Amino acid sequence: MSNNEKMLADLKTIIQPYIQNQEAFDNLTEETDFINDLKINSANLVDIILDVEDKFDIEIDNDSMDRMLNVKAALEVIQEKTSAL
Amino acid sequence: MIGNDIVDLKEASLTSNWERPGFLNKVFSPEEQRLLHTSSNPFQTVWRMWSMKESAYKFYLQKTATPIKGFYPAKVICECYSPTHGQVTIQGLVVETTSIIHPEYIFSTAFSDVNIPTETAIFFLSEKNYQFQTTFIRDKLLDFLVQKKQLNKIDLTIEKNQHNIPEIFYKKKPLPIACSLTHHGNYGGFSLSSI
Repeated sequence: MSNNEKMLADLKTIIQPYIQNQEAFDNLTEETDFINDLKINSANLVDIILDVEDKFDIEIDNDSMDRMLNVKAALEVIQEKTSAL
Repeated sequence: MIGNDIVDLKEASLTSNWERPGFLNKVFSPEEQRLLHTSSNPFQTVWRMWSMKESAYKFYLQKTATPIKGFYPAKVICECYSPTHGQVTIQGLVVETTSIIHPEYIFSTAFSDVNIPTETAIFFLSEKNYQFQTTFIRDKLLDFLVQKKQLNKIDLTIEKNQHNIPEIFYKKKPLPIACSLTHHGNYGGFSLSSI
């Protein structure tokens, strides 16, 4: 598995407990939106951010958090933060 | 214009841990956190302020049709004037809120003027399935309108606009009624006001 595939797999594991639309999760793409597609409630979005911080041992500042509304943006933020370590 | 939000307190205690490190910093301003630390029931205060922010943001979206870029909760500020009455400031807009504090849930409604009449209904939802819940609440809302306005149910529809704000149509024409829908855990409801 490439690094990117591993990252996506880890992200999916983090997201899964919070999704309310299984079909959108099963058909997840980079464009999948956490709130509009997966129907994740916004309080759980905070949990996802905190889970990502714990899992990848990174700190997500408010500006980066602002972008993390879909899969693609989340992967970009994780990539940036982990490569900056 | 109207916005609402419900928090099922049991669901919140099961699925969100507001006490985990970092949670409060991502959601609440330093001033709001001070309020939490002096609260006799911080769990309730967390979810009351959360529902105030959510309802106010829905109101704001309905009014301005301009989403705040990114994660909004830390960018809107709550002030609690009484156990039920509060204000939320969003991008300079001050929104009034009232909150119902029930042992099982907290339900907040946001509006611009206390003098505009509003209607609110709250339901217990037997299933947690997303589709079941939205269908159930929409159906209840339509039943309410049928009774209140003597309309034919078959001609009433609810559609979400591009900002996910529901709008009510009668014979495909928009009705001058603002509405907001919410559900969480085993509770949900709707709120209505004139536009």
